[in-house]
Amino acid sequence: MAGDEVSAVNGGPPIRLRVPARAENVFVVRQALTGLGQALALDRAQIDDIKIAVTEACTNVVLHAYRDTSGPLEIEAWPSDGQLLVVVRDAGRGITPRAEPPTPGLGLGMPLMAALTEEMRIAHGPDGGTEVHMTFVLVPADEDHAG
Amino acid sequence: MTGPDADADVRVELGPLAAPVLSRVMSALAARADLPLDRVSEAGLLGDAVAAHALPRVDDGFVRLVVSARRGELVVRVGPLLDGGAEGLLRDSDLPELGSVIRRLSDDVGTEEVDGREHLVPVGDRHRRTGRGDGREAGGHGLHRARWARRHRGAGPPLPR
Repeated sequence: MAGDEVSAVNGGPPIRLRVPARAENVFVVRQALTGLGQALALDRAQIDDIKIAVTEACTNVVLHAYRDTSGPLEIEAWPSDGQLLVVVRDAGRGITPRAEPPTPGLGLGMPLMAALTEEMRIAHGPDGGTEVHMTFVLVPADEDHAG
Repeated sequence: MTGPDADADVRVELGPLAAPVLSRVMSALAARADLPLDRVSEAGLLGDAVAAHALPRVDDGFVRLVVSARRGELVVRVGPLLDGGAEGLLRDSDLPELGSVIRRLSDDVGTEEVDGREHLVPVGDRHRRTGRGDGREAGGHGLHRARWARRHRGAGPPLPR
């Protein structure tokens, strides 16, 4: 199917998942993406790439969006015209030039997301948080290798 | 349990994406709720069943599941549904000799009205069933066997004495 049979209708994104921004819920997001990838008959490697990129964005929300508070982690998926747009949104502190205090990560998340996506854009969210927009060009699974 | 307080709030367009996404999300949340392995699988089937039968029961082509997954209990609010949609959704999932699949996969099924809209509320509870041999083959689910019998009198297998 590779996205062309699913339309983003006026009622909003075909898939929207909202969970509390906690580490254990990133697993729920990954499960939803696996189901989405299977429904779109995507190549298994591409499903993995999508999950890695979105996981990085979700991890950023869990680690950085809410300091000493809790808040939502929201995912939207819009497959259409051979592409998949995934939006990862929080309602937290918004974008800061540099994380304060410095975080123990290697700083590879953003480059990894950029490498795995056709296009990546970071924006202010409607509730003052951050939105990460990631676009993937869909690759249908080769039946010989789909397993 | 409202959207912001839920453990998950998922809204899906009722089309080819719905079943794969809902089944996996439901299974993941059932595991989070510490339900036994067979119930984790059944939660996935519940997601499948809702995805398969909800379209005539909603007015915008989308279904929303608001889920609480805590301490051995999975509570799902499915909606908003059209008037009579909860009962219709249960009825539409009927299978011969089995009855309503949604009811069979749940330990409790209720309806709630939220903001004037009807919702179906299936519940999975690890403490209410003791095993596959306890009532399931007989067409009932523990505490809800009598209700199941009333609803499906004559349609399902006989109840145990």
